[in-house]
Amino acid sequence: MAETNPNATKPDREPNQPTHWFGLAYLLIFVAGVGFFLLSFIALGVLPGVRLAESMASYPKNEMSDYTLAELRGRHIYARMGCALCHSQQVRFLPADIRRWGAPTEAWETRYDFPQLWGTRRIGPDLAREAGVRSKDWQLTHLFKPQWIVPDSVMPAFPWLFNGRPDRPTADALDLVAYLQTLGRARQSSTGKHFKSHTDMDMSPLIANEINVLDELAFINPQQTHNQLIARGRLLFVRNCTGCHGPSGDGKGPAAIGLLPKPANLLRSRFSTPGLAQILWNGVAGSSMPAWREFTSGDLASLANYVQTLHIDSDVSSVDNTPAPAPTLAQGAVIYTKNCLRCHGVEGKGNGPDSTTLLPRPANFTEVQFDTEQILQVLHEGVAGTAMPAWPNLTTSEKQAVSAFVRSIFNAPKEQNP
Amino acid sequence: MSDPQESVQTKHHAGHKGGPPLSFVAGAKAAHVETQLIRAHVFAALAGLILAALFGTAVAIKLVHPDFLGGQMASAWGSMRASHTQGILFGWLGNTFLAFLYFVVPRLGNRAVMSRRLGWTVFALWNGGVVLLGWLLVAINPTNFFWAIKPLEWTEFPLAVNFVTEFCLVLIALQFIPPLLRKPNEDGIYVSSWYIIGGLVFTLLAFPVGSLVPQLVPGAIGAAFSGLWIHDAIGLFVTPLALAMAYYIFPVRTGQPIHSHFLSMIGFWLLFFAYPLNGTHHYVYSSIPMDTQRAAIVASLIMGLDVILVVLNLLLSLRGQAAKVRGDVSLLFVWTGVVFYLVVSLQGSLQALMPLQRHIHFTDWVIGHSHLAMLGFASFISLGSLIHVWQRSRFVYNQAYMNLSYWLILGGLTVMVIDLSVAGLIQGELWASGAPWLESVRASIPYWWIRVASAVPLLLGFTAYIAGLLVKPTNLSETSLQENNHG
Repeated sequence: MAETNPNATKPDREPNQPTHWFGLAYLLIFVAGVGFFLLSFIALGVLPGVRLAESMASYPKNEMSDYTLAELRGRHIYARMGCALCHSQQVRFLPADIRRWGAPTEAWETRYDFPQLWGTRRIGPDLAREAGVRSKDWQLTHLFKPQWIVPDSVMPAFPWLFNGRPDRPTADALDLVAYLQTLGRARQSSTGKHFKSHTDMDMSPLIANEINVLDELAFINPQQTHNQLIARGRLLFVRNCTGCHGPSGDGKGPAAIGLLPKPANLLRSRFSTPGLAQILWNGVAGSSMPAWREFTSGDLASLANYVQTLHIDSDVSSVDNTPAPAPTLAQGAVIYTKNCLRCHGVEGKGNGPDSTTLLPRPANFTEVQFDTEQILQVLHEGVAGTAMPAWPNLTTSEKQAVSAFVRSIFNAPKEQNP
Repeated sequence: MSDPQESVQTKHHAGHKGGPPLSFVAGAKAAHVETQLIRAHVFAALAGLILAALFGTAVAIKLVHPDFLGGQMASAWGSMRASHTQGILFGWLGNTFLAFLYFVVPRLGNRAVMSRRLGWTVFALWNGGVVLLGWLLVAINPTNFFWAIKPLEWTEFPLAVNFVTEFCLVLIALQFIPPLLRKPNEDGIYVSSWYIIGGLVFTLLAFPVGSLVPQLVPGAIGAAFSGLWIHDAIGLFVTPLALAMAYYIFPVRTGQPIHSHFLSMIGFWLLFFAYPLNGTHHYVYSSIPMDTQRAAIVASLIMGLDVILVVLNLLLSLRGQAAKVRGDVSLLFVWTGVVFYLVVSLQGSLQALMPLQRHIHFTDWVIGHSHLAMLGFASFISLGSLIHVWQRSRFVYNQAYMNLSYWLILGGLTVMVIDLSVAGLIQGELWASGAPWLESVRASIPYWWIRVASAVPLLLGFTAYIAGLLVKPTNLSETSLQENNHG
């Protein structure tokens, strides 16, 4: 580097050198500027565009509905609020993406998207498969104050979409949520006959294979001691559940204000293990309880165990813990058959003949046991946000009898620990 | 492609080793220079830099404190992020490039720019109708389609602003290209001019493709066109103009010609051929046809090789000048920018490869990469070039503040890029592991704090830079007076 440069002194320019560089100047404009622009425009825009248009057209139009006006307005809000800066709408053809969100985003699904909202950054999760995953109340409350529902979230709040409370949304907020509920709708409602698998036909065989064996991957479910389960479950509960169910589990978390039906009071309800597993894995349709499938089965087991420890015997425990006398149960069964059976079903599983159209589903008394006081309150007031009415015509003793009856059909979990 | 090389190689070595010298190397100024326009654009650029950097800082703080400046639509995360990126592109780099063009085109073309009135029109439109109007509309966030923020990267400003931008791009081409074409500079056409002509023509064609076409074609097709502009903004607007600066500053400040005309040629033509074909590498593993994705990945590799040649050529032009580079803050800024150009381009080629891409796409790694490009490469070269432009326009600068500014910005950028790259790898790892989503958010928080901390030296560095241009040196050194005399 220390070498001195002999060329630092420049040679004299040749006199009368012809100025032929007009050729170069126009080459710069028409080849570098215009020509290479057109090359890229055709090679990376038009050619793939034609193939994408063909693949979009191969999917019958009548099987995918266009956005409604409200959904379109919501989409526009999504676009101008910059939602796409943190949330992609593009599940890639990759195992990690498919495992988390489902089928990869195909061209035909984006047929009505002007402009595209694929995004190139994920601070929050991808939203391409958001339809039906979370309830309207969940979405609204989350938009109003994300940390109420997801305590560690870094998502900003959108209070100007509300009139001061999460349950008083503006039309904009409702439109936005209507749009969110369309994401992946076409994919969910389609019959599956238009695509064979999760893989792209041009995809490298290695990746295609990786995706195709995804379903066969076993979940790792390490054996843990009960105390480890509870400790892990407590951590998961604090991080994920307290926004709605409250730090103590009483169902009075900050988000509860915007949710109907209200979050369950976990102190006053006992859950069977299969019942909790079903709720955690699938969510509770018709309520704001989402599915928690991103957790491993080990984590779900920890959470279920921890939630079961939350149940405390209330001040009516003396009544609750002694089996009700047989005549009371018999009276309760009669009242139940007469009034409750059409929804809650013969076996109390919430699958009566009238239950099929109800969301959320009627309570399944074999998997959840409410304490007497709570049942009496429900019989008195009904449950807002569900089909459960109040029962003003039942006398107090009748209410107590039916309460004892529905409590008696609970499949109590085996005691694991004192 | 018709072969330009025969005619060019024999006649157009201007400014290269063994070719005719360019008058600008000797410091002569033949044609009239619009000094007031240079000054105005420099001030606008500095205001754009500081404001856009503050927007960026606010956005960084919001990631660790979501309620920071919360509650109003005008200061929403999405809005301020749009103001940050568009402010850097149009407010800071756009004005820098214009200031540089007003300075350099009369020297390269030996002819004044087309019109002073056109110049002030562009100044007013660019800063009033693009930057300020854009920021204002982003803050107001109107619902009307024409005035609303767009969700398209590197063109978030509303369509209304895009029309002004496109109009400006046409005016800019009319202002600066004819002086380089019309009356031949007897020395020939220098490599900086190739990049200026190519970049200005390309950008005025590519900008509407990125801003308008995705609104007109659906979803995945629109994404293919968006990908083009995402890359054209940096590759065919920022890169050619930054390289034009580097190719100009090096020989002028060292008095030593560019190492190889052949490498300059290869570098230029490969860049304009391969860079536009990179676009789809932003959508690898998408439903865009795999052939297109593969073509873009191959083009990204060619691009990396090309940048090695360009940087080699530039750095070889500095052989024997190490002491001068260390002592001259303008050269030091530009030299650092050129080194960052190599690093960021090799990183770009590497991360376009599928095994790395699947891991780092959507993560903070990419944010680190884009800061390395816009701040490390383009802004360092711009900062160095503006010092030169300022000095040769008979304004003085303060060497001490400039040195301070260099080290602050270098330090802040280094911390930020390393921090974001590590964060990106961790995010990608957690996403692939199947851990709950929020694990990746929790794991990112310490890195997002470090990013906020890195804003402190950056903002101080930008302030020191502005002070360096505005505060008179306490005792003017003899060299700076001498250099001023070159004009």
